[in-house]
Amino acid sequence: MTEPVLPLADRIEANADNVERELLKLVLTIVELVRQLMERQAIRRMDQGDLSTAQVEDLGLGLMRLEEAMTALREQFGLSATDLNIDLGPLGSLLPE
Amino acid sequence: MTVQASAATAAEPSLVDLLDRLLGKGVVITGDVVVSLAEVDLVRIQLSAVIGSVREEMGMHD
Amino acid sequence: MSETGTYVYAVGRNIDEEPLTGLEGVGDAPVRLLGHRELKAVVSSVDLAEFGEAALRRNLENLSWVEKTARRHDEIVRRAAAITTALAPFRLVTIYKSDDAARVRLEELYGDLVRALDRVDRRSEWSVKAFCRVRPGPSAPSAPAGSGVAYLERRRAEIRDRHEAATEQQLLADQLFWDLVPAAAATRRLSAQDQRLSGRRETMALNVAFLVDDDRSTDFFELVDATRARYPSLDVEVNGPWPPYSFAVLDKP
Repeated sequence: MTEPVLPLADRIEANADNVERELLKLVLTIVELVRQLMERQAIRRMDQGDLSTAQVEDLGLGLMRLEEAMTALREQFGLSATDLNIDLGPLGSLLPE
Repeated sequence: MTVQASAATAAEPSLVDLLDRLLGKGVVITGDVVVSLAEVDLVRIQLSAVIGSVREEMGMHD
Repeated sequence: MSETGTYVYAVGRNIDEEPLTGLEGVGDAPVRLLGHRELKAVVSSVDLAEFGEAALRRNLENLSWVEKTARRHDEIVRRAAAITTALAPFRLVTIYKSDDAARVRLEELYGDLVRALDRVDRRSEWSVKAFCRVRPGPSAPSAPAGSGVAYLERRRAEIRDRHEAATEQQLLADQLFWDLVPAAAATRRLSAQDQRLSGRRETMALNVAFLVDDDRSTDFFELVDATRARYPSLDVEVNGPWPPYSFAVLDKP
């Protein structure tokens, strides 16, 4: 039996008009994933209490700036938060939020 | 009956609902019968094949 | 013609052959009835070049073939269900080597088939699905947190709330299920459909098949309508009546 087509390949339309847009969405989705993972990691470290207040503050500010930058980027390209996501079928969506 | 009632009674199952029920977990008929198919392979293949069609049907574009 | 097999769509009891004449089966051969004791199997002959084991492996990977076959199969099941009170639909591609082989199998399954037919007599299947409505989250950050610590604390609260909301919606979906159970003769919980297949972005919290007495179908539908109003965070979808696909399943090989 043939191997199933991967979800990513499915979702990138081989269509001149939107191939750039699809790639952009893919890139931003991955950036968003990393940003969310970093946020969760920062929160975990904060809860564990193994960071100084100053470190938590710096981390928080950096992540806040990152969120603002992502929002600006999305808006620039007319993408909503839900536009950035990848279905992994039985594994659910890539981005939980 | 409400409008929804008549809409529901007129509706046929969507292809997804149909395949959910008609394919089930393994089209396995053994004995002297002709066919036996591994359930996991079948479901996996159906997923990739059906996605494009369902999305088209629903007018969804990525 | 090369070798043929006998494709079985469904089994019933009092089915009149006349309304089914003229119907073409999945291989385009005519639909007919195969009798065994008081049972009547709705069948048609199929060419094993298309429906034999090797051919099926190939054809089942082809969506348009599957869709065409499933739709034809379903049409025949519906036509048969419309002219009798109890019908046990079979799954796609149930094929026997010959009419006689099919009869032998009917005899082997006789007890199970009778029980299945009794179970679905004068009843139909209703599908109820519940999707979790997406709660509007903070799209853009509201007033800047002011401090990095405040930002992280806010994010922590948001993540927790979202998780709790999802858990709560699942509990509500279960409650919704129990609210509907009294109106049904039987229920079968199905697994949530893959989002890619359902085409819905929201999580499917409930996917149930209800077996409902035909003369209580309006009551059932109205109950769903009344109940859904109590669960505003769920988007409830109801479909039916359908032939009892989920309740006549014989999983024995």
